[in-house]
Amino acid sequence: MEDVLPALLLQTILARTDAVDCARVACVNRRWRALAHDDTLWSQHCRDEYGVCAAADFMGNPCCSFKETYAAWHDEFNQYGGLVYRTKKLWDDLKGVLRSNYPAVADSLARQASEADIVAAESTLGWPLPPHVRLLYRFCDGQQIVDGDEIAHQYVGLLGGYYFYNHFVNVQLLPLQQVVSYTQRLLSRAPAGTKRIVIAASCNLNKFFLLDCDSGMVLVGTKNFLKKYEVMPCLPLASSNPGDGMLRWLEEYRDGLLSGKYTVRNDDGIRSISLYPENGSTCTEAVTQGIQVRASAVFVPELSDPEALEKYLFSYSVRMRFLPVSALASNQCQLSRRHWVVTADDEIVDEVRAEAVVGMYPLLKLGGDAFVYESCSTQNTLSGSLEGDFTFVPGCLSRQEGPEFCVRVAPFPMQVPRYIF
Amino acid sequence: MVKVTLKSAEGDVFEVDEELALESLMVKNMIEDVGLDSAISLPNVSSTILAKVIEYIKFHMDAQKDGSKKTSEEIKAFDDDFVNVGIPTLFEMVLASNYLNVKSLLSLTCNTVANMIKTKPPAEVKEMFTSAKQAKA
Repeated sequence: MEDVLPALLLQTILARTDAVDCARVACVNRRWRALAHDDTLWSQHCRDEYGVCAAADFMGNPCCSFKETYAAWHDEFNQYGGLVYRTKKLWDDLKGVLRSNYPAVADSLARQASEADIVAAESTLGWPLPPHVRLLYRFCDGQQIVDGDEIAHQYVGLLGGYYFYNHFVNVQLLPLQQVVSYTQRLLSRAPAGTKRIVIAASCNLNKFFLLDCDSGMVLVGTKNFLKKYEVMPCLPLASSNPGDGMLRWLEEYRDGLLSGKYTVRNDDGIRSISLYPENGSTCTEAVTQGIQVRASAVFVPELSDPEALEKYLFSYSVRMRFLPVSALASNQCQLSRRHWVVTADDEIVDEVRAEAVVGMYPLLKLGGDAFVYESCSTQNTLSGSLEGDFTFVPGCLSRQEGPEFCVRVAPFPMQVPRYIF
Repeated sequence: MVKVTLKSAEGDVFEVDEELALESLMVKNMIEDVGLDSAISLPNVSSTILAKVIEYIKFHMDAQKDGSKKTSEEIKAFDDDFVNVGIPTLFEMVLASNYLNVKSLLSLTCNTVANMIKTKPPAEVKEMFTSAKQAKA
């Protein structure tokens, strides 16, 4: 009786419905049943709903059809609804980008936590985890760092870090077991009624990220965390989709890795993910007389004290390089002085003229390696910027080959970002 | 402007701009094969439906032209109104847009049918198709 429309068109129409509709129309009669069982239709449902492209269940066991695959995923994750697609995509993207750029971090990502593992963690904590957090752990139980040397352990943090003067952080995403033990250690004396857990931390415990289980908000400890549990929110409040904070936070971080904003840095053979932005509007660049200066800043919440006068601490990274092509007659030049102009809320608040940078007078060779250094600065507003110039001499300071010249540092922002990592 | 003559199942003749006729990939292929000298015969499309299809293409072509003041809300309103027809007519339009190969109209009509199937219990889906069949008979 359905020959009013040929099978091909019915299939086109069914392809525009979801899995539940397909399952329902399969009950109409034998012809619909045959149509609705078509496996290309189910491969589409697997892809659209779960982002699953291979006929295999959640644990990777092969299924004999996409219909069976769909059923397996549906049974496993039905309770989590539309979060499944985003969560799977997040982990797939993260694993992909890490696998090709930093395999050691990809290797540290743990297997899936089972529903039982999560229930056990919840019962120890004494409260339930938000659905999106449960799901994140269902796909990957944080980072589990096994064997290898102690030094390397410090640097494989999925959430990256920075290093300036004697302050070092590199943040790992904790597995459930550590979530529970860190929470018990760090928050046991926190004010009653706050259901917060520690989700990520650096090995040296300089920096912690928390999750508020009631609001789903990700928080980071400030300088006053150990004294009075002071925290700052790490992402903007969502109006439309509340309660998925940790997922949104990790999605933003993933986008930073995919876009090359955060890259793997190699310091004397030690690799780690660096949070100093490498591109986009937060990393700026200027070239003067063949000397290229790139600079960017990262907000450092764990050393910020929102109640103090100089509230917010930023660390900045400056990379200077003598490009292979230059109008300069010398094939090397050396830095002698720096000049910084500090701006806060579009007003100049400070100006510094001084010798060298971090006590060093880098000598740049034509086409040679970049000189990189990190320093820090505090400001009392959320938004500011830093710019200035470096005075170089051609040749070297002990044997100057021509008149000194100024190399510009383009203004780069020092802003408390919407998403804090 | 070059005109193309289209002939419906009933033998009614529709004269349209070539630009409009080419929106149907089926007609486009026919013109490439046999040229513009004779009328293009469309034995699978009734006069009523052919008129509707022409109306649809014309509206969207005008809406896409530079200087068109149509907002996306107006276009959506036109589309919603366009498919707000009885099920038999809707099915005929699915068939015609598939036969004439007008992708945007096929997509619009199939989506409309899909939305009607959504959330309907099997008995009502069955009923939908039975009524269309009876109307056709």
